[in-house]
Amino acid sequence: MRPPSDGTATTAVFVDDEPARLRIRLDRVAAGDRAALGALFVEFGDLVYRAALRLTGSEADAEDATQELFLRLPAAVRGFTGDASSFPGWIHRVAVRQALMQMRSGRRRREVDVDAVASLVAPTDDALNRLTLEAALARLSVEHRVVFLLKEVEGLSHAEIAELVGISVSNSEVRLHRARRELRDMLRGSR
Amino acid sequence: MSGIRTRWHPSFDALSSHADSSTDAASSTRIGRHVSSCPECGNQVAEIHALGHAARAMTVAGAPPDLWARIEAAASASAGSVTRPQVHLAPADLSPPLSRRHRALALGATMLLTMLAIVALWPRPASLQAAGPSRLTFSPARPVPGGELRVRYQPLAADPKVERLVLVGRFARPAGLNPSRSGYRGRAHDQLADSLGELVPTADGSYVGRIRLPADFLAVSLTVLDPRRDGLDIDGAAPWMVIGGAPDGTPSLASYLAAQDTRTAWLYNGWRSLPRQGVDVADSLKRYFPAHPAGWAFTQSYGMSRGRFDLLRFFESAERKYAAMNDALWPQPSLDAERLHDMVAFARTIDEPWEAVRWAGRLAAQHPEDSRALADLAVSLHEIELRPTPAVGDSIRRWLPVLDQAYRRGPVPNAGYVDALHLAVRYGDSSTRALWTGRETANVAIANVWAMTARLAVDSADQARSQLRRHAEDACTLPPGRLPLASSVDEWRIRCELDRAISYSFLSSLTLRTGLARQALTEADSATVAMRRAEICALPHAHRAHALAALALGDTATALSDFVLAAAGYPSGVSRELESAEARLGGRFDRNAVAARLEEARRTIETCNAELRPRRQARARGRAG
Repeated sequence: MRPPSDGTATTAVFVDDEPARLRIRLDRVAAGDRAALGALFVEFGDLVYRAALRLTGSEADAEDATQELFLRLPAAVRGFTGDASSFPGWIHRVAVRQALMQMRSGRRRREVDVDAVASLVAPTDDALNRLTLEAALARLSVEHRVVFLLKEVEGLSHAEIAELVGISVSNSEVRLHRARRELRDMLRGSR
Repeated sequence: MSGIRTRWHPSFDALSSHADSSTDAASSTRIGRHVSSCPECGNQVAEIHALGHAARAMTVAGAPPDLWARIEAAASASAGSVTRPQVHLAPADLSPPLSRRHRALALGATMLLTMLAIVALWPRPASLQAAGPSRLTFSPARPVPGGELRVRYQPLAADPKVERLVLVGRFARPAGLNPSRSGYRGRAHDQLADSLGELVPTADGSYVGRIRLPADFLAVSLTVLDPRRDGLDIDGAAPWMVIGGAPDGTPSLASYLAAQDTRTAWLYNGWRSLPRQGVDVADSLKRYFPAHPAGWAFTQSYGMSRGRFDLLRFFESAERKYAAMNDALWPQPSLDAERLHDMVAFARTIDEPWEAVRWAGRLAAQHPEDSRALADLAVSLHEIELRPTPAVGDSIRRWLPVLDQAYRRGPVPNAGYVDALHLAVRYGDSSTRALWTGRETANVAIANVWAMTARLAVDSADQARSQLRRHAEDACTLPPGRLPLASSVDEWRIRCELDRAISYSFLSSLTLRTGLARQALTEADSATVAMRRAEICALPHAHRAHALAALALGDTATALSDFVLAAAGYPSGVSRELESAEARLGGRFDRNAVAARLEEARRTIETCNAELRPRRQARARGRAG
């Protein structure tokens, strides 16, 4: 089921630049227009979901984080005072923050990926199989994985990571070094 | 500590920092100049950059098509309509970085006041919180045997208010007497525990309760259960752990070691979380710094980060300790196996694999009959493999004869066989590879049995069979009054059935070795029944066992079908599975037919997984409430 159209396509006849159209759409979202919210989901749902999935490593968690974000978005966009062109960056950071909140809650929402279990414990083949970076990332501790992804993929500075994760800047740096080292060791060990 | 290679080059952390510097800034630093002239360090920096590139290039799936429908339904259910103001929501919760600073200040002030209140009101020692975002706090921080433990639990703001929650817990026994830490029945979420008390709501939204501790209290693992909805809360990735002290309130080594002994592997951390033989950072901390406060309460996830951090600060003194012991012990002509094994573990703990190899080599040379000799040497050599070591093949090849001697004179089957086999396969010549792979029959099944079933203490295939049979036939029903320690009841049942399926699979393989093919087939059938109960679409172990039993009975068609299922169910091992099947079936292995059946089997498994996915997701959501 796809979200409904919010009618801004019609508006575009009169307002032909994308930032202005987005600004109108955000105003509608803030006013509680569900169609406008659906249109935002079409445009930014994948971005939000992907950011959450990368960090949480769980489809269920990523879905929950995306849902929470979009449910709260009508209220949250009222606090968005930047120009429309900065909205993608803004919502991306909110997605990261929402995913971290999801993880920080400590609430387990993981699916039992039994196929992954079976492959983890398969006899002797494991050590001979080459690891992918994705698999190696999944084996990092949550603390290390989060910092690595925030730095390398999301492009945040250590100061920003420290603020988001609630750790010191030096701790963020240490976690990044550790994550890189563990990843390198795992990937080398699988060759 | 002369001879430790890491001193001659910048540390990995320094190279990692260097990799993050801008090109101009980096080239002018001392490390930058070193890197530009040192191919080894240059390669490491290139590897670090490559990791980042690869991470950014990873493809991640987009939002599932039905997610909007779910969001819309949730919006309608919770607020009637999203047009209604979200009065329960503080906009700052989703604020971008600019306003986050202000919220952080407010949050910090609130936390400070809360902490001051806790310190002022609660008895000393102050109630420390487990490192990380723990929401379960204890008082006193280091409870004494026979005393009382007060517990405060802070639920999520979104959690429904309930009349009572249950503290599910398991008291640790003295070190060495707790359930095995690895394998299927050793994981925290497979262990059973008791209801230790109730948590009741307070006016401030938290829940409080008390536990009377037994007179022999050492440590306790705790989780919080909402029994009405089979909902569970744990400390991120593992149960909360409270470690007791001596009666006079001082730290207790026995308590710490008992707690260590109960630490359990967590499924999603993969095999890296499995305890390595004799090597454990926290154990090292306690052994050499028994008064160190780290670890008074920890879990594998949060506490160990803290432990590692502390260990870094103490690393140099640990190295000095190691150097002193090395100087005192190495010249002695005769050392017992226990001491040699301890030095291997110590060297590995302080991240000095060559030192570990030195001691492990001596253990293998002087006590080749010791059951740890082969594993110590093989695993230490594997650590060498994981580092940027020039001519690593030559270095390891020299040790292959020593590994062979340790194997010949040590017990068979041998727990170190698999590690040694991998080294022989990677670095040995053809005759060495043939020698080690020829030992597979005597070892691999047993080694796998150990890995799979809580490291059964078995010396023979007969013992393994009897223990596996007990696991396999143990019905997945909770004993009256008992609860899973760290999983919902439904999750526990599914994992239990998976455990049974795998146990039956290995049981079937071992039975087949005794020539009882029909019985092996029956056991393999039982494995597939348990597999379905575990909501698994394909379990390579079960299909492989069924194939081998069918083949022994002359049923080639069934065997081929099962081999194909095993291959389809194990995507990363398809070629190995099919090569194995071809070797066993010989001329009856039709590659074209197999390729077509493989595709069909994959589709069947995909369809099955698609059908199960909503149930798995519904279970996950139901659990979370």
